[in-house]
Amino acid sequence: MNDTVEYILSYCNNLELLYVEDNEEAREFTMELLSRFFNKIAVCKNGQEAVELFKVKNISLILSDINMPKMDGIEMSKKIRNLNSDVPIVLLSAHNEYSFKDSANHAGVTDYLEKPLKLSRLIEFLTSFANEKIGEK
Amino acid sequence: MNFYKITVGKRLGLAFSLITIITLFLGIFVIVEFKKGSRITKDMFNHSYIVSNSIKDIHADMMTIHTAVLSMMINKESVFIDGQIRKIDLYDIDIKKHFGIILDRYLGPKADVKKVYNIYKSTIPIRTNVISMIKAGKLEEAKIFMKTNGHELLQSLHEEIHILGIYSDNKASDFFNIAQENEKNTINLLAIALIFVVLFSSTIAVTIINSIVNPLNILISMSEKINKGDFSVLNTEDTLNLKNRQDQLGQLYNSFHTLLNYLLLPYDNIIKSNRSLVEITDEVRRLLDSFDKNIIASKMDTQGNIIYVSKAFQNVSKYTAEELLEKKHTFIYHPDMPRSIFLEIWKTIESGKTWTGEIKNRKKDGSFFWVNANISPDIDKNGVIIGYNIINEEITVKKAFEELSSTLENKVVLEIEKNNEKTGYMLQQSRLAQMGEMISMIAHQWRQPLSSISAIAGTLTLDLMMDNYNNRFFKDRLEAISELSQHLSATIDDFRTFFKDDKKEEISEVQNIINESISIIGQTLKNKNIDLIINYEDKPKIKSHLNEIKQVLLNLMKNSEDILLEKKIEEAKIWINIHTKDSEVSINIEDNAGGIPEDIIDKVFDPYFSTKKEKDGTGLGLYMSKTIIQEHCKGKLLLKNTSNGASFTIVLPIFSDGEE
Repeated sequence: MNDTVEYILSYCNNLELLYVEDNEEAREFTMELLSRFFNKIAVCKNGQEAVELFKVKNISLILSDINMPKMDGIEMSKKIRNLNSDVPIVLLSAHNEYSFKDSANHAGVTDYLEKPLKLSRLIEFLTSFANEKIGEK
Repeated sequence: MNFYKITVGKRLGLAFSLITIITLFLGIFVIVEFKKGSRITKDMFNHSYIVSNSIKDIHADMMTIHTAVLSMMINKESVFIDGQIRKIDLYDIDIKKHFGIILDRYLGPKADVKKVYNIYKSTIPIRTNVISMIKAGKLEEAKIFMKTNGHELLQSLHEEIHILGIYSDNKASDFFNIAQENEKNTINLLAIALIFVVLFSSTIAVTIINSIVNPLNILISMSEKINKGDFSVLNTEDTLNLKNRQDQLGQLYNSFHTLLNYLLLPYDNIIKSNRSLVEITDEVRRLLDSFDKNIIASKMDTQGNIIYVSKAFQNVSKYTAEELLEKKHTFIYHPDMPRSIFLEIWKTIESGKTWTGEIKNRKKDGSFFWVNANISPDIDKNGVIIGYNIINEEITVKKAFEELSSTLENKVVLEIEKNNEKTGYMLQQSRLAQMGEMISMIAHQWRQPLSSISAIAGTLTLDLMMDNYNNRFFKDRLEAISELSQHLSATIDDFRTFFKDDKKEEISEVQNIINESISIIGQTLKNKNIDLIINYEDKPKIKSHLNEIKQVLLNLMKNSEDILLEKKIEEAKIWINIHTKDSEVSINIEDNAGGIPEDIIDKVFDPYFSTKKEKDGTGLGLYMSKTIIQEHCKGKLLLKNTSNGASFTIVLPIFSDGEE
């Protein structure tokens, strides 16, 4: 396990993560966890802000809530894909929000992580993310 | 003209007048007749002069005879003498005749007349001797003989006759005077008697007439007054006097009085109403008519034979009176009736008591009718049962109803059970839906704290894995977890309180109730980016089942939330406004989702009506909300569309501290 984390860290450390979450409380501790893997994390409160930020930053991974004011995660996903970006977009969703999945897939969402976020699931995802990135190289 | 049109008084008066007139005529007739009789008497008395005349005639005759005798002395011729003798015989006869008249008419003692007549007779032999002496020529001798024997006798005879005449004259005159006097007295007496008779008969007539007419008049005026409703006359002095009379009029009055009492006895109240007898008898007649028409009644004699059936009885039974009269009353009873009932009836009524109960009777067409019968003995004044009166009330429908009702009752009970089941089911559904909503809201409330806990746990685990343990950081984060757990726990408590049954009414400010509702749903709304705008004008208190009101508020906000999300309204808003007016507080919940379509706005409070997809709505929310507010909390739940959207208003009575 430690190796896996080491492996992820070795890869993700230099990458910038975009974390989109409107709820401040939720943001605080989730960001703390994420910061264990990513040195650079860009944070914003909704999809609209995220799209703008994405344009100006070199973002390697987007983690986003689904329900947000102004622009939700799915809408944001569409907008980013429209920018011809294949950046992985992961939606943080609750169990009862699977009804989004069809439109989310259509919008070019890469994967889903369940809320509350489980460490093992996060590691699993980040491993595959790292593998993919390494494979690309 | 009808004789009987004349009043009794006039008739009697007329009769007495006639009698008086007749009596008067009779009296006059008697007087006239008496006068006639008096005249006859007078005539008769005139005849007393006949006596005098006869005496005078006797005188003259005797003088003539004496002269004849003397003439024979002068003329001695035998022829002349013979002629004189025949003349003397004729006069003698005439004297005898006059004596007969006197004897017949003389008013004094007859013996006097006979004495005078005997004196006259005693003169005849002397005269005969004288004549025979003259014939013998013994003239001187004759003269002497006549002088000695006859002269004195003749002289006394003349005197006696004269006395008779005077006496007779006097006597006749006396009698006449007496008769005259007597006649006068008699006429006077008669006149007085007549006047007395007229007066007496008039008095009697008036008395008799009054004695008949007065009571009649009293009776007439009494009847008239009674007719007009004045019954006080029955006790006046006049009527009392009448009552004590023994004659036919007294009897008439008494029988009239008895009849009146007998007739009026049952109508004491009516008599007191001061109404006329005609009105009373009219009313009694109408009452009897109405009774006959409307009351199913009959009478039977002591043998149970029908002796009267009312029209109503005939109408119901379809039998005519003729068909029922003289029949046994059992004739009308339906064969279904058990015999024991009739034995019971007779046992009751023969003992003088009234029997009441239900009887099934048979109609002429064979069908039946039920009556509630009241059979009472008809008892005369001596206490003897002379028959039975039967008054019935028809209860056929009621009986049919009773028969039906047992089955009907069962049906109703079943229906009620069904209905209760349905209501229970609805309640259960509503509860389930609420629980679903509650869980959903708990999920919203818990999601972030759980995420945080989970994230902290992840971070700490990761730090341990990477040998990156920092005591202070760990302590700090574990404290954060503890705090988050407290928050979760508090949320659970909120919900538990919120959904617990509150049977008791409690007092609270409306503002607090709304805040507590928002503590439940607020996070959900926030998560779904719905703005909640609350305006308080005042801080009214209410006394009610507070949790129920909170549930309704929650339900209304949830509905708004659902429709806002469904319609994907940008800048979704829910306004809560609190107004007070008079003694009522209105809690208005309005959203900007565009409102409820007009064609279904009337149905939204119906049970099972829902516009939501099957998964989301039970269709009970608004129905239950309205039920809670209107039936449980004595308030109103109103709905209208505004320019923004649907606007629900809960109106509740304000609780003021002064109360209770």
